[in-house]
Amino acid sequence: MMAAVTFGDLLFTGVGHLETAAGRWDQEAGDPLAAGRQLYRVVDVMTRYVDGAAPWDHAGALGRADLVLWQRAGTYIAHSLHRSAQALGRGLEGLASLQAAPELPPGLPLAAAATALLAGRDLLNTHLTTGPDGVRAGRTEWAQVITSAPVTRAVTDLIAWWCQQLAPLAGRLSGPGLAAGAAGEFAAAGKWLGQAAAFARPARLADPVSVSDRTLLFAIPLAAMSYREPPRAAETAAGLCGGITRSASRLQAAARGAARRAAWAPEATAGAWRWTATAGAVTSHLTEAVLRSLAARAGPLGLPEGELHAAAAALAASQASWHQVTAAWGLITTETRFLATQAVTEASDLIVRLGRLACDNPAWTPSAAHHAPLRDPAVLAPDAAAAAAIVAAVHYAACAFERVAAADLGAVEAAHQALRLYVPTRIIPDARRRKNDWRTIPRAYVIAPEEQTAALIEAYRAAVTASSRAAQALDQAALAASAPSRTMALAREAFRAEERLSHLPLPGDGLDAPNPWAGGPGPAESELARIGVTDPLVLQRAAAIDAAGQNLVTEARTSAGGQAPGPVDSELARLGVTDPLILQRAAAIDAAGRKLILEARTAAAGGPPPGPAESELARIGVTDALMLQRAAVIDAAGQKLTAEARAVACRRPAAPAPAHPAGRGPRPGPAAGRADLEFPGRLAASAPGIRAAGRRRRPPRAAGRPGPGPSV
Amino acid sequence: MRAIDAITGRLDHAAGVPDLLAVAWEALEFIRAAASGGADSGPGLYAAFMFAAAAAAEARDAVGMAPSMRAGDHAPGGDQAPEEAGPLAELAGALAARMSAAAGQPDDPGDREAFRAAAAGAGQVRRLLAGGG
Repeated sequence: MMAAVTFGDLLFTGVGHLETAAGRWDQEAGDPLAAGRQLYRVVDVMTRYVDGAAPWDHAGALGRADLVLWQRAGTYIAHSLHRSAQALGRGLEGLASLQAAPELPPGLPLAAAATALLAGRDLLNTHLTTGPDGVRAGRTEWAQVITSAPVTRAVTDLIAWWCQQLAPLAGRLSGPGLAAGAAGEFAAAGKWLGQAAAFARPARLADPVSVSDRTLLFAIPLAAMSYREPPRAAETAAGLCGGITRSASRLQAAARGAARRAAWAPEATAGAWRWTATAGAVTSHLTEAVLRSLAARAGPLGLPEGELHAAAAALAASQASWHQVTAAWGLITTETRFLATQAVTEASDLIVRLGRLACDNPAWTPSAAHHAPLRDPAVLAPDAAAAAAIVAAVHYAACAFERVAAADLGAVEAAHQALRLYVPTRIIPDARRRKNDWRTIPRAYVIAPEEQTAALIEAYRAAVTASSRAAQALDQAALAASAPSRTMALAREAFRAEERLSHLPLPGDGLDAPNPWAGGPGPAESELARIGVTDPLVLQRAAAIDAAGQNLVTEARTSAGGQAPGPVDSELARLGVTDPLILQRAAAIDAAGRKLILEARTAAAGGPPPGPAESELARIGVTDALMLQRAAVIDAAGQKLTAEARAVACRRPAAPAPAHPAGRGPRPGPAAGRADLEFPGRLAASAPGIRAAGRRRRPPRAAGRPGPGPSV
Repeated sequence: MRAIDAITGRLDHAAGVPDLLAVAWEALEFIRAAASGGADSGPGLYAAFMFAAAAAAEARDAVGMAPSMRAGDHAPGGDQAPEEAGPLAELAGALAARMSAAAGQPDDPGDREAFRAAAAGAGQVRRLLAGGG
C-alpha cells in the first residue's frame, strides 16, 4: 500500500533543497536577480504560512495561556517576514524590470524549496474547508490537531528555523557589484529574517518544542480519500493490514456529517444503523481475538503485554456495548428500507479482512461455513515488525468505530427529533393501549414511544463511551509497541487536549463589576462598525476576538491571584476601614490610577495606547504577567483585523506592492504603515497597522536598534 | 413443542397473503431474537449469528410495512432461547422457499415486494448460518 504523503515528507524535501541552495549560494548569488527572486518566493510562502495557516492567529485560540508565548512569537515573526518581503521586493526592483524578466528556470534549489513549503501549507489546508457563509471549519479530524498547542509550537518554531537559514543567504546577496540601493535592501531583508528567527527564542526557552510536537506536525497527512479495494483471495498479512487501515480511513470519512443527513436522507435507515452496530460488535470481537494472540507473543517479540491485554479487555467491553445497541433496536424501524451506504461497504471490507487476519482461513467470511480457529500466534506475528503492523491496523479499526459510534448516536438522535423512528402499533405501551386500543388504530406503525427511543439512545451513548475507551487503550498499545499508528495516537491525544480546553467551564457569574463588553458588540466589532465594515466574515472574526478578550477579563475578575490591592485600598485596610462604600471608592481610585500609569508608561515608550483587553486588566489591577501577555495578544489580533478592514475600506493596498509579475512576489502584508524605529516588530501609532503583542516598553534583545536598514 | 417447530408448522399451513405475511414476520422476528441471543454460543460463529440477526430484522421490517400486513399481527418476539445455527438455517431456508413461491400471489405490488424481500433476507440468513452445526 502506498502511504499517504505527510507534511513531513514535503518539509524534508524542502529542507533538502534549502541545504543544496545554501551549499552553492555563492554560485547562485552570481546572478543576484535569479537568486533574489528565489529568496523572494520562499519568503512569500512563509508569509502565507503566517497569514493564512498560522494557528497563533486563530480566533478560537487567541490568548490561551498555554499558547501565548508562541502566539506572541508568531505575531512578531509575521511582521518581520512582511518587512523582509518588502525589502526584497524593493531590492529586486532596483535590479531590473521584473515585468520583462523571464520565468525562473526549473531546478533552482531555493525555488524548489519554496514549492515544497507551499505544498506543505496546501496540505495543511486540505483539512479545512470554507462554508457558504465564508467561515472556515475543519473537514477532517486533523483540523483541530493543526490548531492545537503542539502543532502551533512546532509550526512557529519551524518558520523561525527557516528564517534563520535564509537570513545569511539574503545577506550574501548584498555583496559588491550590486547597486547600492539594492544591496541595502537585501541586507535589510536578511536582518529582518534574522530578527524573525530571534523572536522565537523566548518561547523556545520558556515552552520548548518537544520531539512529539514535531512528530505530530510531520505526521499530518494529506486529506485525500484512498480508493476502495475489495478484499481479494489469499492476501498476505501485510496486505490485510493495509486494507484494514484503508477501509478504516474511508469508514471514518463516511461517518462525517451523518447526523446532518439523518433527518432526511433515504439512506439513513434503521437497517443501516443496525448493520453498523452489528459491524461494531463483530469488529470488536475479532480485534480482541487478534490482540489476545499478539499478547501471547509478547515475550519473544518484546511487545507491551500489559497494554495489549488492557486494549483487549476494552474491546470486549466495546463488543458488549455494540451488542446491546443491536438489541435495543428491537422492533424500532424507519419508514425507508435498508440501502447499502458507503459506511456499510467499508465496514464490510474491514470485517472480512480482519476475520482473515484473525482466523486460519484465507477465504474467511462471516458465514458459518467459513468459520475457522484463530491463527497460531506465531504465524500471525512472526516478528516484531509484523506485530507492530497488526497493532496499527486494529488501532485504525478501533478508531474508525469510535467515530462511527459518535456519528450514529448523533444520527439516531436526529432521526428521533425528526420523528423518523417507528414501532409496530401492536407494541405501544399499556397506558396508551388502554387509551387507544391498538385494534382501533388504522396504521401498522406509530412513532416510537419515548421510553424505547430513550433506551436506544442510552445504548448508543454507552457504545460511544466503550468505543472511545477501546480506541484510547489502543493508542497506548500503539505507542508502547512503536506501531506505525503511533503518530495517530499522538494526534488523538492533542485532539483530546483541545477538546478538554474547549469544554472548560467559563468563570461563574456574580462578578463584582460590570462586564465592559456585555450587552453589545465588543471593542473590535464596534471599531469595524464605526468604519463601516459590513463583511459578515470580518465581523465574525471581530466577534471572536472580542469574545476571547471578554473571557480573559472574566477570568481575571474571578481569579483572586491575579489582582493586587491598590495603594489607597491597602492603606484603608491598614487603618482597619471596613465601610464598603469607602472601600468601593478606594478601589475605583486605584483602578483609575493603574490605568493612568499604564497609559503614561506606554506613551513614554513611544507606543500606541494599550488595547481594550490590556487596559481593562490594568484597570482591575491584574499584575499577572502571563495574563497581561494574553491580553496583549488578543488586542494585537483586534488591531490587525481593524487595520486589514481599514485598508480594504479605503480601497488601497495595505502595503506598497512590489512591481512584480502576478503570482511571483509576496502579497501585500496586513501590517501596513511606517515602522517603529525603536522596535522593528511593531508599527508607529499613526500607522494603520498592527501593534505587536506583548509588553511594549522594551524590545527583545534580538530586536536591532535601529531598524535593519533602508527599508525602515 | 419447541417454538421453532411451532413456527415451522404455522408457516406450512398459512394460506392467503395476510396470513403468510403474519407468519413470515413472526418467523423473522424469532430468527432475529434467537440469533442475537445465541451469538456467543458457538466458537467462531459470532459474526455469522450477528449478521443473521441483522438480516432477519431487515427482512422483518420489509414484511411489516407490506400493505396487507394487519396492524395486530406484529407480535413481539421477546427474549428467545438461543438456538443453534443449524435449526435456524433450516427455518430460514423453509421461509425463503415459501416466500419465493408466494411472491407472485399478491395483487398488490407492495405485498409482492415484501415477499421478495422476505425471501432474500431469509436466504441470507440461511447462507450465513448453514454449515455452522
